[in-house]
Amino acid sequence: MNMEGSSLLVNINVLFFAKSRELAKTSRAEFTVESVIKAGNLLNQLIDSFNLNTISNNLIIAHNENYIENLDTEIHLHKGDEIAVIPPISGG
Amino acid sequence: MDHIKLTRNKIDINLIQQLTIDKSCGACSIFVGATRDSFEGKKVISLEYEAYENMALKEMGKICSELRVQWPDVKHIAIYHRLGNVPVTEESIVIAVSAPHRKAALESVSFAIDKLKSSVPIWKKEIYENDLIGEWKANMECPWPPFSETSSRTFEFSSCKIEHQIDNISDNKLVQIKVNDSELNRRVKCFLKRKRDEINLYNIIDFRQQTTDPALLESIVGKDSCARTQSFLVKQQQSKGHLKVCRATYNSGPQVRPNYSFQLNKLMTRQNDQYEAAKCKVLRNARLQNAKL
Repeated sequence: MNMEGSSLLVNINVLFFAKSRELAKTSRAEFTVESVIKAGNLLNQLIDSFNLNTISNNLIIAHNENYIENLDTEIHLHKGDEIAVIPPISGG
Repeated sequence: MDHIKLTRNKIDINLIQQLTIDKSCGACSIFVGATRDSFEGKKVISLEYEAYENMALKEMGKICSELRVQWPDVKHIAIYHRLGNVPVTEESIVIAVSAPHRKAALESVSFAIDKLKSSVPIWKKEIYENDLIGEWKANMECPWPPFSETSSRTFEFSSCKIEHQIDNISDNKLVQIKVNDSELNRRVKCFLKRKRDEINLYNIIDFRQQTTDPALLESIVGKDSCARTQSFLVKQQQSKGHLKVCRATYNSGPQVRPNYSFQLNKLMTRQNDQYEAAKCKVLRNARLQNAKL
């Protein structure tokens, strides 16, 4: 069996916040993607699918409430995992 | 104890202080973050806070743990952040820490607010008087995107009032470039480099040897001549050297006139003394004798 895993697809939940929510016109969506994927690749797919091009350079993602700042990281996704699109924060 | 909360209600600072009271604590340090009414000269009419709530609470919890590691004396911690619409001047965040002595309390609160601004997924949107769509803000402390040079060179609107506001520029020949200094510098640098490379390339092309001699062509096929010198390195036959010397012979010019060498020497010896003249005469004549006339 091909252990690259890239052909296996999973259904994940994507959350959008702040500007990304306004551009995507939704705060959450379901998305199907390869189960083993580089963070940057996943982000690019989300950018293309949800109209986030104008802020594409400023985003990072969070996987199950953990930041993934290094977009070269390979993530292993399971059904129902939560991916959040995170624009630059401004709390406090 | 750690008290972490996201609330849509007005934050009660006194209540928070109450949460941190302890008979062992002689100090309680409280930071209150409120909302300002202006940003870059624009009047803010309201602020909206949004959070990735589950993760925000998780990150706030991590801050509490870090405080307890760095300041083991810390007794109670309270971090309350307001969400939703926050009217101007009201509190958006309150951080309170109690400890036996003030050093731990003061330092840990300072650390906590800095850490919150760089790690807790909460977003603020400012709505302005003249711009009801508003703007999502980004903290300087936020570590992404990697290059946030915009924050280090913001325009000092407070010291420079906007005198004129033009809404419609009718001249179509004008192009407005709305980028910060660093981006502008980058664009100018790129243009200069590109122009430089272009000029260099044209220099090489312009000075390239244009030759129709088939023998020469064969030997230089695929080789570029050097800009400005039109010279080639050609291996000399039956020699270990690589240099072939070509002598230029001109079939026109003053040197083909009769008595050329005589006339030339006459002209040159006028300025020199006899000894120099004799020396020159010997050298120059020798060279002239070898040249084809």
